Amino acid sequence: METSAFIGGGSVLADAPSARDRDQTGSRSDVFVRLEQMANAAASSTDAVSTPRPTTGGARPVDPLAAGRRIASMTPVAERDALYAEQRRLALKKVNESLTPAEDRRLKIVRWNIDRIEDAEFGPALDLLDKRANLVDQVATSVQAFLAEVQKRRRW
Amino acid sequence: MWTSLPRVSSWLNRAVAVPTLGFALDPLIRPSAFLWRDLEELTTRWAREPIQVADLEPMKIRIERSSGVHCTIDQQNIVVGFSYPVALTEDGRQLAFVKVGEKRAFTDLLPLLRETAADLCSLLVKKRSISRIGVVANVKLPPDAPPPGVEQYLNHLGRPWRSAPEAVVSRVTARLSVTERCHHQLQWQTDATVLALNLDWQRLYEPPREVEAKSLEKLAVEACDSALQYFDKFGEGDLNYGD
Repeated sequence: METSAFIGGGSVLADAPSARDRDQTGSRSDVFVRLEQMANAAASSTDAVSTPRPTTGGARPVDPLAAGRRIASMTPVAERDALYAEQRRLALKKVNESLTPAEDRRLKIVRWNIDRIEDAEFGPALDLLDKRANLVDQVATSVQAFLAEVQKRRRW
Repeated sequence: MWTSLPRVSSWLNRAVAVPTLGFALDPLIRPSAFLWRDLEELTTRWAREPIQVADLEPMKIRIERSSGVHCTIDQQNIVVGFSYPVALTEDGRQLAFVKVGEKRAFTDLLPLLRETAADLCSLLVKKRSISRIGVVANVKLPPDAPPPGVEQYLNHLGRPWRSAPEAVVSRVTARLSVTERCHHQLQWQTDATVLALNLDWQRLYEPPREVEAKSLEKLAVEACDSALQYFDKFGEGDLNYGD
């Protein structure tokens, strides 16, 4: 097939990268070799030029949230300012007049970009807060269950 | 050296997205040993940093640079791609751990690949004809926050059933114009942690066009710009969804 020989899912692009940056000592323990095999498996799944395939399991998938946050956090200040300015301009136009379908689409993608940048900045802290809130909820539930048990035993 | 793309505010810069750039040329039957000789000057320069080289087949070679850029060359194709380098680190006191290379934005990676392709083409393309240039964006997204265009595309796929689909493994090849097409591959399911999207934009030359390294440079610059424009259009949802 025409596409299979070139861009688009052929053998050329589906190649998984081998581990790079090997140590230069030459002596490597079995554990290290096994870990390298695990890394290769991870690399083949996180390799962003591999063609999407149905999940077969086994390999560790990339965490698109954490990695995406890392990339979004590198957005230069000038680019952020330009996005905020464009959002402001389009939002004002939406309120005062109306937006053309193209402007409406543009506003949505600008907002998505800003969301990603802000998520990169505040998301990890909010996730931590969410985790702690869930933990407190769990503790509260456990304490309630414990108190209920104590009261039940008192009645005996 | 090919000129670099201006830094644009692409949605691809807010996700794990890596490019691949490839050229499909007329067949040139040249064994790997000759290819290595053609590339001697370049590989010597690259070898200042660790590189890995391999004969994959009698007429197919692959070079992997420590930066994560890799090149695959055979009798018909020159493909330059990028993978985040994975290194194992051990300090003797604790178990070895996997370290993935520093993340980079899509529009920073694309010029890097173009420069590598320019270096390769200056040595390999004296006078050949080109039938296709391809630019790929391979994207991994968190499934709960896709860009508006991707969400619209997913909803569009579920329209016959009047609801968003529960899982999608799809590949759609669309003709964008007389000379352009794009393969859209998407893999997603409701409980998955990754939405995998592969946009494979191609410019076709029918009949094939004669090129030298310099003229190929111009075609590659134009192709990268056009591909990026289409990727942005797709992410924005600027297609005819019949709404």
